[in-house]
Amino acid sequence: MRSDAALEAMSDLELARAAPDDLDAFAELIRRHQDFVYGAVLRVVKNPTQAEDIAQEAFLRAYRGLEGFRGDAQVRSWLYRIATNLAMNAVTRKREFPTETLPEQVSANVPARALEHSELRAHLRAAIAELPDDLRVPLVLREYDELSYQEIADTTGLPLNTVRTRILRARRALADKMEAWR
Amino acid sequence: MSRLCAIRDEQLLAFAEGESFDLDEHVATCDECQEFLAALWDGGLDHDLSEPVVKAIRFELFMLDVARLLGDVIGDMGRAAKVYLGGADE
Repeated sequence: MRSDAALEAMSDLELARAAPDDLDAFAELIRRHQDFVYGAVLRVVKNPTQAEDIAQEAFLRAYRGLEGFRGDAQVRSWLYRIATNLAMNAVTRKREFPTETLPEQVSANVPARALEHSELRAHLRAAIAELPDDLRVPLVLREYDELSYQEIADTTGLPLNTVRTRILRARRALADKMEAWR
Repeated sequence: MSRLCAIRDEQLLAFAEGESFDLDEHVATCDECQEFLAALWDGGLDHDLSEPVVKAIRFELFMLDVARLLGDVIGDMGRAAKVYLGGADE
């Protein structure tokens, strides 16, 4: 186990090379660049809480991608690209589908006297569980894991247009199931 | 202050504020500009992200180990079934 002083003396590249087997090395890399990554994300999403979540996700993705990092770019540049891609994806999703957050979309049509929030959420969860797999899986990946359409296509092996169509069908099916709440 | 890359401080300040998206590609590869922005954004985070990130990584690694172990067990069960059941499934 390396001392703090030993870690601080290591270059970014040395830390990145050590990190797959040494989480202390990766933690040092995070501490060095977290303000920079956070700032890069915040300037795009303009929401501190969301920026923090995305910054954490950026470091997670960086860890997963360490084996493939050849060191031909600076570590900070590499982190910057990962972070800004995630931030741009988050903003693009919000811009394309501004009303796509399910609980709010459904609850907007519910009479105030009938709106028992926990009961509504339980019904929504049950309705999602009843969806056939081919509709439920892309919907959950989109709404809860916040993957982009392309990432869902890559994960499921489905064509991009099929992913879009299935998510649309899933939302319509949910709207029908939640009809009683309107 | 100007840099070797000729981007001015005002441009980077605007960039840091969320403007000048046309500088994105340049900033991604320019060490000088990144240094400026790093200094500007220094201390912006309220707390240390390393702990929650490392925790998440440890959990992922644990889940991978569990999946690998389950895969080994299922593989062993499959091989055992072939031995003990012989050609029953053919």
